[in-house]
Amino acid sequence: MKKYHDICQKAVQQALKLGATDAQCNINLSSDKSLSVYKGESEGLEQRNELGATVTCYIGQKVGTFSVSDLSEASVDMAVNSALAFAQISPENPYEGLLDKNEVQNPTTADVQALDLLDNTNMTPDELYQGALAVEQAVYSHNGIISTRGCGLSQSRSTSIGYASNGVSYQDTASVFSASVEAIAADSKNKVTDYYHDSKRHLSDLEDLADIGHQAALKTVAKLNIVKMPFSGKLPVVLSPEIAGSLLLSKLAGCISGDAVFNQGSFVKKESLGQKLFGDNIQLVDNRTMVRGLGSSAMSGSGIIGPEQVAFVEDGVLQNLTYNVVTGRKLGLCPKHGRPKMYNAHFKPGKQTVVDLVSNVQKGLYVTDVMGHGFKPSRGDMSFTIGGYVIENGIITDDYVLEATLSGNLIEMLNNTTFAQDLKFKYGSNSPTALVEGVSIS
Amino acid sequence: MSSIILNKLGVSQADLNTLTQKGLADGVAGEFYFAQSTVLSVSISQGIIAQPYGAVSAGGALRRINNATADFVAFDGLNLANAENAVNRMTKVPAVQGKPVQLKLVGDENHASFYTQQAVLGSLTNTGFLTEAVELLKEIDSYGRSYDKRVINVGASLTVQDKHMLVQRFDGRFVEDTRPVVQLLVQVYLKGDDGTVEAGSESIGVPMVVTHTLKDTAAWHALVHSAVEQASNNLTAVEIKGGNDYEIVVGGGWGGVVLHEAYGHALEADFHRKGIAVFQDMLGQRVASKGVNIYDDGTVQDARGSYNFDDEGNPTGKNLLVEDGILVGLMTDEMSAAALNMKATGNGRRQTYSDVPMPRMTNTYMAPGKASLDDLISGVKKGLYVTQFGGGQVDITSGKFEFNATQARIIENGRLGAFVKGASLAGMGKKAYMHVKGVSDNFELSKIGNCGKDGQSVPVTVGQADTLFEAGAMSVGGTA
Repeated sequence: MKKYHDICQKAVQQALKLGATDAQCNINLSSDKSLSVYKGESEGLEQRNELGATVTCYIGQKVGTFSVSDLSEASVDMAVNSALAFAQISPENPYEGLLDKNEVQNPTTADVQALDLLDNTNMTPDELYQGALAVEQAVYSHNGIISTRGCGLSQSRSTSIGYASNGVSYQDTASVFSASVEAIAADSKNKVTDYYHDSKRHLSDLEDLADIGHQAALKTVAKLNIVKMPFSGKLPVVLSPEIAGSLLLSKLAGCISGDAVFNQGSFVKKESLGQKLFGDNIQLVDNRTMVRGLGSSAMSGSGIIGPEQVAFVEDGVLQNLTYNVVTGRKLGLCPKHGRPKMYNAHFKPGKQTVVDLVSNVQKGLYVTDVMGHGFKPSRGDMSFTIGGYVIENGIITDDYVLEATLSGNLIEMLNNTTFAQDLKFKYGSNSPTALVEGVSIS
Repeated sequence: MSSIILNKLGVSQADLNTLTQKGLADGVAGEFYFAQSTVLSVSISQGIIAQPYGAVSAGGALRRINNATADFVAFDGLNLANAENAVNRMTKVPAVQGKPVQLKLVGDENHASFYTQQAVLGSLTNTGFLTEAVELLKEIDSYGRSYDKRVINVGASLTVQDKHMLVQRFDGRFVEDTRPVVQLLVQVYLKGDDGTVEAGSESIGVPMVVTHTLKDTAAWHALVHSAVEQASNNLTAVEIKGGNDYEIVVGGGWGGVVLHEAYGHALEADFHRKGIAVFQDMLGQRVASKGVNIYDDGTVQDARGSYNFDDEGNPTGKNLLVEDGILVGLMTDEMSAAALNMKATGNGRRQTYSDVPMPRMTNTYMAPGKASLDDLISGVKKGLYVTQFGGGQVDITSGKFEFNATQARIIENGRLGAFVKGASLAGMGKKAYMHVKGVSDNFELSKIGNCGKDGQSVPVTVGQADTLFEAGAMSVGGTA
């Protein structure tokens, strides 16, 4: 690790010697391997070693950045010279510049280790093969499954090292283990597909591999019972945790990004901070330091430790935007309190069970699939193709609708959402099941 | 031509072939692939030039094929030590016993070059380019603001990419190519009288020498005009009710994205190899209305999806997929071609050296018909004329596809009416093109396009002439 730190430090010193007023160098290294199985045979072992060094040079408030993919002296020199040349000819940007020296905080080794993001297990090709095979065998044990797009197991380890002239200095290493499968089911009339996966920082936390196969198969086979959409109009929908995560949480996260706000591309304005935009029960919280969290990090940004937890929405009131140092300056928000993104975000759960939540719905859809890109951040309007199960008289039926459309507005939706109590921390960002009223489905 | 990549590796082609043969000794096919890509990019928003960015990424990957098993070792850093290390790592991976295959090609191994071997970027630290680019973006910003008073922000970005690739194949063939691309994106935000903000964007991304774009004022003016027009139309747009009873006219050019999603992906042969595509085992059968002819053609001059060789080193070709409504071809990579006993169509593409090749589209289009746009629209009682689409998506197993219609107008009793907001089009690939009622003669190929599959994005184009679909062929998702 010291070797990489030294390369960063040398690049920064070189840049300063050549006339930069500030400079920063980051190195990212990763190695990963993956293997997938199709009908009992390995589809191949894939191994990757990736490496990148990025140098940013400042001349006052002029800035340039250059990246290279190897660490030879010639390449790093080229990165320094190019970044500096770019800075020389780029116009002054009043918002640019590193954080002030006196403000810089670096995470300690103990801060990094406390997150427990690294598992040094090195899986052999045979272990990967046997694991993927276990997933596949579970998938094919279900009637109706005709094929898969491959059952895969993978592991990766990545390290980032950073050094800057304002005193920033950090390094951390993290691992991810994943298993995934896309299954195909068919009967005489229909052919359908679904997907299941799990990712964890530690191999021992990964869901049981056979269970991953069973989950994928069950989800897929259930979809064969296709019916035509039996109704349309303004009706309640119940969004599965995954769909609530993608339609509510990640769309909202995009709209409260400082860059989108500054570029006036979002319905959220800087003045929206402190305003009640959504229903009382909407709480969006981000936890940066969740132990073994998929999105966890020991710092909020380069030279900033920042708070461990940030409430972005509290009782429906917008409390924060995501922004980095530069965007913070543009918006007049304190760089030290900001974070450039959400790390492990979630909507806080409600009090009802999913069964209770659904029992309130006489006629509606339990949404399990979504397709499309029909979201306008400037208005919050959305229009997506969805799939899901018919809800009748308070019960989710076995009838699957393959092709329906949902249209609504994110602001209105978040004023008419009730969350169930079933929040699980499975992904980087997570939502409980959500009942949303007042959208149009057809 | 002196080889940039061989020079970096410091070996002759013969030495590289020897090294490749050593690495692939336990295989029956495969290749050693190397690429070096240089990107320069600069952007503007709110009148401020964001930090200029440049990158060189270079590296390689060795792929060993045995039947349906492809072992793969990829590395960043273009040097001989890394290449030799990859060979060593590969020889340690236990190999499946492979059955040799005789690859048949569609394209001509010695066909003409679509790109000159000239690099778009003179030197890596081409500050001359950057100075010009910054000036251009400032001009675009001020032009956009003066063009329409309602413009509150102009975003623009210029990206230049110079890519060199080299393939040393297991069968001894050696291919080098260069792929320069210039991309300019303009996005405008307009504020209406009631305070609503609407965005419009237009971009162009073509293989060419950078100075052409920088000096072509008419070309970037056209981008600004189109972006402003789209945002302006959206300000007056009305909501419509969704339904299955709309006749749909899909506009020419970018409208071909419907074809790309509804047909293109489902005709990629890797899906067929696993028996999961909606058009499985349908070669020779009717999949579209009579008169529908669909091609994927990697040899169109100056088109973004064109290239001399694919990323497995096989020549590109003009591939007929659907002839007069009958499915006649698929797009293959080497592995799917071997498994399905088909020809290699030159569609084995990858985003970077560290990605595995798979069958991908190039320039995918439907041939024009003989009607005029007026002929198509005048017969429509209740319909939509859709000319711009946001992202599209397809489920290749069921054939379900979806688009966001970003520019659409109501058609009522043969006349064009108001613009529509927030509508989407959805349908089933197997059904939609069985209901083509007419195709106009104004064919166009898009100037931009990126296609995503399994996390890899590659440049493509789509194309068609205005195409009229019967009511029921697709459903409209409305917002009213």
